[in-house]
Amino acid sequence: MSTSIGLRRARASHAPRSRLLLWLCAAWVVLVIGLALLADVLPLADPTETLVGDPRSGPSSDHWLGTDVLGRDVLARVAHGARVSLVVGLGATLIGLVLGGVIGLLAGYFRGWVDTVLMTVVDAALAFPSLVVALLVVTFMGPSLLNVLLVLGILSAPAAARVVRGGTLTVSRREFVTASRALGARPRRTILREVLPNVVPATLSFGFLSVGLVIVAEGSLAFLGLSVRPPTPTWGAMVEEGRASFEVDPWATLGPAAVMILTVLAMNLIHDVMTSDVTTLAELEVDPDESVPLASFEELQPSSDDGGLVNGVEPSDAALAVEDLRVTFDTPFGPLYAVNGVSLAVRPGQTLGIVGESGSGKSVLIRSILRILTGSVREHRGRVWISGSQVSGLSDEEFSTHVRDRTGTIFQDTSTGLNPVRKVGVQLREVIRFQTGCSRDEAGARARQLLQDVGLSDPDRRLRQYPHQLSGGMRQRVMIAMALACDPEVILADEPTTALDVTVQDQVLQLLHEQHETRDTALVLVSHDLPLVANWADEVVVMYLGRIVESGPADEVLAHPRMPYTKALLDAVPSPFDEGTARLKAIGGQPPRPTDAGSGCAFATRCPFVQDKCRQETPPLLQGDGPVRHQYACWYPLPATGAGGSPEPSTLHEEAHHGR
Amino acid sequence: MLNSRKRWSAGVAAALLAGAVALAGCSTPADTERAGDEPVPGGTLKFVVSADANGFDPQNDTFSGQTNTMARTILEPLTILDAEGNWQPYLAESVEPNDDATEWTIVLRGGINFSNGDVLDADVVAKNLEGHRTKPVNAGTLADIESITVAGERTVVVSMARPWATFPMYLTTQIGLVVPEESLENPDEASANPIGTGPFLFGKHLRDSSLTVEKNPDYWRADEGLPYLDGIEFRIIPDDEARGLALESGNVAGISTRDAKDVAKFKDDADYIVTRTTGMAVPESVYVLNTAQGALQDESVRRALAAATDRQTIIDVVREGLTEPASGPWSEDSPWYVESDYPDFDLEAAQSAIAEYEAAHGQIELTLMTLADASALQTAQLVQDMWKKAGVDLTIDQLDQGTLIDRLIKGNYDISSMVEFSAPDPDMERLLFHGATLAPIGEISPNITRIDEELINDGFDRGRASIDEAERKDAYAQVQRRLGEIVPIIWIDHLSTASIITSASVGGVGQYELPSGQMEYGPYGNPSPALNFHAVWIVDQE
Amino acid sequence: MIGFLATRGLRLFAVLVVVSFLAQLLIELLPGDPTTAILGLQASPEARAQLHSDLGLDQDPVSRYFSWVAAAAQGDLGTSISWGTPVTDTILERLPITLELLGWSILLALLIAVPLAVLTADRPNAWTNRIAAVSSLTLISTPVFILGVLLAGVVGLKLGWVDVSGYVGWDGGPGPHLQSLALPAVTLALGQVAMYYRMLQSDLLRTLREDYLLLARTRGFGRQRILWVHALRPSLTSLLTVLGLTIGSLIGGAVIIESIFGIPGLGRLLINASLARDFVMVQGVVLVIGLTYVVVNLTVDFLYAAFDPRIRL
Repeated sequence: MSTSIGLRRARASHAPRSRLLLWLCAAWVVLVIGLALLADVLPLADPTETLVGDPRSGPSSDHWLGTDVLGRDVLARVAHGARVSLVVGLGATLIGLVLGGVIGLLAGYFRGWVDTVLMTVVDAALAFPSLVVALLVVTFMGPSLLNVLLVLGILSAPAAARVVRGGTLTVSRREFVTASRALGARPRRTILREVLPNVVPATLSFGFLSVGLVIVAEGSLAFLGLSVRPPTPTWGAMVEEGRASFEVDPWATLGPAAVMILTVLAMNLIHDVMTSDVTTLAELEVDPDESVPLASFEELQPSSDDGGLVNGVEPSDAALAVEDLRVTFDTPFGPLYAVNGVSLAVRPGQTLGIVGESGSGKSVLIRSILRILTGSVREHRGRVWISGSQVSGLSDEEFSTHVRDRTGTIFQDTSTGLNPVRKVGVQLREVIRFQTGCSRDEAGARARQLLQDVGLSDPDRRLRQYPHQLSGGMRQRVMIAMALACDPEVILADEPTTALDVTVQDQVLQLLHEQHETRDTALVLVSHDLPLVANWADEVVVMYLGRIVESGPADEVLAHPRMPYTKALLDAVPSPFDEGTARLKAIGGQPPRPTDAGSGCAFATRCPFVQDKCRQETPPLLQGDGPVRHQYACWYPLPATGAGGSPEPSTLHEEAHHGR
Repeated sequence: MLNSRKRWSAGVAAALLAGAVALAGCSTPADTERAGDEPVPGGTLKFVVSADANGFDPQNDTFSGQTNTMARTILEPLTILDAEGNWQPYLAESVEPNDDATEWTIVLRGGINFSNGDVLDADVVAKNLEGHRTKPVNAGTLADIESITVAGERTVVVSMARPWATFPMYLTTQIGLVVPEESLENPDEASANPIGTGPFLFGKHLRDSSLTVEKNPDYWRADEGLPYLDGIEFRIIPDDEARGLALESGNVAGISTRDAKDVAKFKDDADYIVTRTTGMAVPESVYVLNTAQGALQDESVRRALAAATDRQTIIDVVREGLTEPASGPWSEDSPWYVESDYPDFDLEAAQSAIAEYEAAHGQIELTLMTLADASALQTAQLVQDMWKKAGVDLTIDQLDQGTLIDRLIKGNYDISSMVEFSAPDPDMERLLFHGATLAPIGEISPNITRIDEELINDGFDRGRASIDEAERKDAYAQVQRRLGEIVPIIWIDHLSTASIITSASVGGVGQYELPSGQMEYGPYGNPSPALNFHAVWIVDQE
Repeated sequence: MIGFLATRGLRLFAVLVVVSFLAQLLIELLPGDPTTAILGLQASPEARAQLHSDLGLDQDPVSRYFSWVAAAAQGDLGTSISWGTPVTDTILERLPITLELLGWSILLALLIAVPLAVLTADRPNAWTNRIAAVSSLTLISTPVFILGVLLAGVVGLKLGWVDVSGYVGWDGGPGPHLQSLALPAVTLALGQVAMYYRMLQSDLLRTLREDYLLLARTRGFGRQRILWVHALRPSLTSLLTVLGLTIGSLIGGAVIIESIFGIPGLGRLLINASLARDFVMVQGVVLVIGLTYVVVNLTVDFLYAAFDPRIRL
């Protein structure tokens, strides 16, 4: 195993790069602001003085950006032009934020008809091309700095109102605001004290966007001769003046154009980084198992040596075998060892149950076998055999061809497992035709047959329907039908019943079991519900934090759990509604973060029988002492006698109880 | 495998972009075939003007140089200018005055029909003139007419309230353009769909974009082979850059322009012919001063501003050095020019005069109105800088034409940039300067500088009444000298960059031989010059 | 469906009312007397007074607004002050040109943005993707007038690839016609490309993480089939939203582009009319622009339903 090379991906480390970008942008903005402020003090030519150099001469040591058509220094004009752009950009944004802020706060705080009326007006105002309005108003009222500032300020209010309203709506639903409202605090007080500070970050980030937009708008007006009066330089007017002599002297155009683009770009980038920082922080609160942000096609690294037995099975005889599979994700807290050296095998016709809590790595295991991992994967290695041949070394295409008619996969969430915009029949027939190459009609007949097989009434009607028109149970049956379409040798079912209500659960499992029986298919059944799995499985594997902690024949594990965690799973009462609430009732405490890959038993923090050794040394997965094949990873296993699932911890263990 | 895919995905964008450009195709100018001396009939000429006509009804629409360029392919005047700048009868056979020029008898050429089949007779000409006399556009100009009578099938007699020796000159303008009765009865139709006696027929007009005219097969000079062209496609391109480019790319064969850059670019290129305006046809670029209010009431201030204005620098920077500095409305190569006492550039004199005035009255702050066109703005900023050195603060106010004219005629301005004085006869500038047209500030006055000078009034009156050449020259010399003294206008330059530029494959520009035997007047008109297309031909480039 | 049409219609009607009201308000801001702009230097005071009452300038603004709205509802937008022609006719002449320009640029933008987004969607960290991300933001940050000037200057002037000498109608032949619209359409499209690309790509990234696409991969469908057949359609919602939302800024861009490239569309008409103080024309154009916006957004709403069966109108 040591020879297999872990695939290292370029870390999608947003943080340092975006920070550098942020600094660059900020530096540019500061430079432009500094240039504008110090334009009079710096050793620049008078921007309005004509003929300080030969007209239309290119860059030189005297005039770094050359001179314009009237022989004025372009650099000086760009610097002074920054004043207009910045004054209008910042001023109009401020006007817009104040105006829009008031509207947005009122609409978001009071909601109801206030919101409806205000937002209808805002939407109507947003509807019309603002540049056209600005152009008309300035043409009719006459071009001047004040007019431009006012018009662009008022025009940027509606967008600001939307942003502030959105923030206010979110904040005002939170407890502290609801509370202060309930306590009879005055609206003004609540808005100023509680709501305003909370909408500031989003508003600030919008502010940068808005400054950029206003600078562009002012530039456009200036380009059309509708901004500040000459000779006061503005970037837009400089571009317009310069373009007449673009052929002779492109610098008079390119200079102001480049500075303008860079300034707007800096504003947009700052906005981008600020918004993405907000989302990153939000994502951190989510369960790391689900927060994987990016999708990618993964490649499993090949293994150089062919290995021997896995769980006592020759991999080439197994329907599915996995050896020393490791998957590590990059997270902001460090590497997450989602699957940490898992080996298992399923014989043809056998059912394997994989059991564990949410976050134990069981879903990642399935997805890594199928190469459909999402997220920033740091390491993905190990060996996988599917229907007897090793697939770890194959390219994506080869893997895909090998796997497509040998496996069938079913996922937990019936609402996301089917393509929502395509009809059931289209999806099913596509799979059939793709995998068997049969004709359209044959595929149609086969699709109908499959739906009948999975017990769906009126298959013709179902085929014409979209997934959202079916019930959850029906969708799950469709998914099963799709998994069966190719007569797979192994079915991978990841929590196939969790999202369904209890009666349907049983039907679906029954159905899966029948299919597995009649077709002699191997079945891998992943679930958090150990008793349920044990009912249907031949073999059971229990996972905790990326590792297998116990495995063996289903009835053996069920009857004689040796690892306290397995025992706890057996005693747990899973909620039928939400996997996440299926906490281990028998044992409290939280699992450590899977990113903490310290030594010791991972279950030590929650185990009622924990000893010092548990915290210091990681227990290996070893064959138990009984005659039956039964492996567990525990220094102090439960006695093998506890049949029927009634826990009898020794008093010795009781004293060592450290559960929190 | 992976790499090739990546490359493919990156390449798609490039390919699509390239496709978009390929769709646009390439157009490189073909080698120009030169027009010889012999006219070649046939072909369609593509010609660019800078602005569209408001309408083509000479009775109700104001005709600009661009309008004239297009309209005069369809409409023709009673009299026309010859190469010397004198009027010659055109649709008229003769135009004769009585002894004191208070009565003019117009006799029409026989055998001319409008393209709708109507005969050009005295009746319709009288109705046309009557229309001009009563409709707002030209009523002011024709205020001296007392009566218009039909004195025969082809004879119209126009009687004046006072002697008007230059009346036939006005018949060369929009006033002389004759339209048939149906156009007089339906002005909207006349404006959109003009009918005339001209060498071409109205084709299709896409406003602000293009106008096509087709050869009139029944043109009254058709037996002389006129016109040579089968048709003309006028393209309207307001952008100064694009106009030159269009000509350079070979997409059009001619442009009308007053942009110095165009002249500079094409004048030494053998593939193009630049026909510049000369003499009276040259317009002047000027700053009009409102002498009725503020510091500009003071003659010394006006003279100081003139002295602070370095005309040659403006010409060097803005006009590529192509024009001559002006000191009055008429250029040196015109028959009317005389020297005057107009101030030369003298910054020190200007500074001391300004300082003296400001010591007594405080800082001079003035506002300049200008249109938002590039060269006007450049000139304005140069002048602003020059006057700043003389101690005057000038604010530049960019306005649209409507507002500018409104403020100009009501006197609500200090200084206005303007391009004017391209009329072929000095008499035609009368309204701008004559005390008779003066009104108080706030009321409308065509006398925009608002001067009322005895010498100037007298000069214009004498020049208008007299048929005697020497008498007239003396009268307008008097006007010029007085204008040079009191400086109601700061003259910048004679805009001889106003020109027609054609590809060398085009012949006959300015070469139209009039029915009376003389050669036509060259290009003239404002803001960009017009020309007659009667005798223009093109060597087919296809 | 009916409920949707009613609420949507009401909202969009509100847009039209606000827009028409705004157009009216503009005239009240007008300094000076529009009649001088029309009659020029030498007109008599009587002629001016006549025109003043002809234009209804002596009526009060409220009754003028309502009589205008009443006529507009019947398709009569009045008579242009500066041209004397019916405003409706002129607008109908110009509108197709602007719509064509907008259509080409949207089409062009989609033709570039969609393949680009789809082909880079599943490799978010590839170098092509980073380049695309940076250049798309740069394009978004580039004002359309700068883009226009640079393209006209470089492609038109320096390279001489395309004709920048004004608009040629369809009757000038499809070749010259398309050629005259090529550069303006490309200019307008470039900004849109960036916007569409960013939107579609982020949506695709989200869609590609959906279970049904992961499942599709286990079924052996090729990368291209998954991207184009399976992932694209469910990802189009944001793109459609952006299409509807940016139509406003696109029209604003068209105004500038039309004046740079001399396209006789609605935008140039608006600029010329406002410079000529032809407020009747301005009012008409403003209303039609508002109407265009409304129609486009209604179309987008219907497209939502067409692309996503879960959405019911």
